[in-house]
Amino acid sequence: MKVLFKNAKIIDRNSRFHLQHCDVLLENGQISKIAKTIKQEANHVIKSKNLHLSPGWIDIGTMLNDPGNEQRETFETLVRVARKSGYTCLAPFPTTEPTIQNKSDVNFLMSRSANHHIMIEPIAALSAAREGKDITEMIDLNQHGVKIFSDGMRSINNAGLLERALLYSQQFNGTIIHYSNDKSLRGDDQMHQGVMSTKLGFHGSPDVAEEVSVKRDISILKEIGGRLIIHTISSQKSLNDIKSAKKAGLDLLSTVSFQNLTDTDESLINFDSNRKLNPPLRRPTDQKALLKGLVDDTIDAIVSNHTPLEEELKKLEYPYATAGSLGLETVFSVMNDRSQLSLELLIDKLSYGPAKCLGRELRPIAEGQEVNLTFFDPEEPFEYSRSGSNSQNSSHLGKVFKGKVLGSVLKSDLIFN
Amino acid sequence: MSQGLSTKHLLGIKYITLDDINLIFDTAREFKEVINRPIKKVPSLRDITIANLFFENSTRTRISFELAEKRLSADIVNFSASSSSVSKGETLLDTVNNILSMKVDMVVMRHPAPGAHFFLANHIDANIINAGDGTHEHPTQALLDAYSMQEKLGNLTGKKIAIIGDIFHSRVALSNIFCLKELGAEVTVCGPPTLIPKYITELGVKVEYNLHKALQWCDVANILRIQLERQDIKYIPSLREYALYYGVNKALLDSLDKEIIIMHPGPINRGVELSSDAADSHHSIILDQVENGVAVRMAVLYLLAGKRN
Repeated sequence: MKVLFKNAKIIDRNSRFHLQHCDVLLENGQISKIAKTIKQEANHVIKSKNLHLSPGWIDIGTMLNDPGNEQRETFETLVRVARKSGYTCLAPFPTTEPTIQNKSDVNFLMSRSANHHIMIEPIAALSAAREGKDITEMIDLNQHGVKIFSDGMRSINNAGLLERALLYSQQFNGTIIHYSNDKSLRGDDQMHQGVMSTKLGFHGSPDVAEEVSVKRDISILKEIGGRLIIHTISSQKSLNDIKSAKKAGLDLLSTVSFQNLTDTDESLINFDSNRKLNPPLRRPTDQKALLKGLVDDTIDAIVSNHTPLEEELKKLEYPYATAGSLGLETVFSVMNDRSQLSLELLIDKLSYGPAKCLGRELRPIAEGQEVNLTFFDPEEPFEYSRSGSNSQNSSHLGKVFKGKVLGSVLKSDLIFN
Repeated sequence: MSQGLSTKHLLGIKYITLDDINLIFDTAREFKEVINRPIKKVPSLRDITIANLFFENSTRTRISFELAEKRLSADIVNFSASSSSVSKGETLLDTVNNILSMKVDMVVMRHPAPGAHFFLANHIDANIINAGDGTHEHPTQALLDAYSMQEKLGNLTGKKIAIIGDIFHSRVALSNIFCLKELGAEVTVCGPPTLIPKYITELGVKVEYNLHKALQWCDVANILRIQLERQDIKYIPSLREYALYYGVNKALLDSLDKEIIIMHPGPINRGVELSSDAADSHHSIILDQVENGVAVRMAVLYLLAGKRN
């Protein structure tokens, strides 16, 4: 199969074609030619007024619901949603039921992904059954392809457990992903504690809950080593700690959810349960600081925090609704439309940034490379009328954004909208 | 004066305007005159059906609304459920949809979840009046409180109001703050530090931990009920200590340099936040509040009914 991209602007800081307008020809899963103009027949010729091309995007911490909660999203719908949204690789959290904690669980996940056209970086549970007590059989899991361990959005309250995980995983240079948020300080978990929570009558969840936990994690990392990703940081306070820890040379990385970059707690005035998120939306000052954190590389990756939830858990009075929102389908459009981040930096934090976190090689766009590409148009409007997921929990539904993902190509598999 | 209210629901004081508040007060004044006539009933809402949905216990608010509705000749249906039986939203939506299928025009609802009325407003067509939603707002209480203060003090601009007690768990405190600030009053909240929200000063109020100082400063002290039922953690060591250091009594009032007005939204924990000798003294306008409550609620119902298409 041949695919020809016409006059595409390449966004890839590691490619010698970076920021150039080129024609790109794909043949049999390889980039066969990149040139100013290519005159060749192809099965698919892709044109768009502002066509852009970048390495395929990667999402960390996508919620995985199959098996366990297929009513929210099946593996098939997840893959379709991801690929249409520009993602060619997912590192989903082990949020299946049962969780992913032994070699057969991993083999099952990897065999499924082999049948679907997406790359999966497997993440296994850090603690058995994600209960926060004992570490899983990490060495054996590593022998079966797992390098990364996490309990997902369940924070580890037991500092000793985190310490053991960081230490034990050094046997194979593993990585731990932690959502840092101290349980005893996080209040009612309804929303950020601030002026808006006061106005709405909630105790709120203060940013100090994140700060205390991040400080603790950094102290442990400093003491015993290992490799740690602090996932979805949301407040200015924790940024400063991460920044200085990185400067001090710790093997520390961090991610941020696109929602915390494009929305604040001020939008909760009407109790929209689709904006009830984990981590919570915080102040405009936090939002600004997080954007700055991306620019100065304190934050390595932007993630979707994709959490499909069925109507029964979302169409409720705000305090009773479960936290979480869909994400994959809107990351690019919402960021492109609403944030001040440059397009180059945005793409970098969706591709090379997460690749670095996961320790994956992401090859720059060049002739002879295996195909792993995302294409998009930052000017074309995107109307988010319905999610391709089984769930519909997003405050962005029904809205139009500037910037549209057109599709992705992985080897010979072309998906486009 | 504007033409009617700016909204078709009363979800909270922060969602209405100063013009709305003044219009409600002007209308309440007329209704107060009506309910003091020998024939207390007017036919204003004769074709309107109102559902009173109380998902949380209430005596005086429920009776006050019911009376207001009856004085306006509305048809009413009452529904009460203990909060424990309604912890899932589908039950709320189903319950309300069932009632609405019977062609109800307005819903007066009390619910334990902050924002429950927004959820309802997004899903049903009737006018919705918030009769208290968890720790969020209790707008008609704030309106009747401010109305009662105005009756005694005239224009509230520059008047000093102290709100005393459990600010943290109080929807009355929040609605009072929004309403009084809108009317130009100065507001101080007073209570033990663990019962004062951290960001409350951002709403334009002062904080005073010392009860005597707060009373000495104010023209009106609105004393709140200690909401033990909303405290999942112990924010104060004991009711004894609270009564000793934050309870208002006659001796304390007599020790002030001036006369102040005492209010309480009820029900009173006598001997805890307010002693009987203070509650029943000439300082107190607690029973005026109850009477004004009916007039204010009549005004709200009447004006919102006017917003129906």
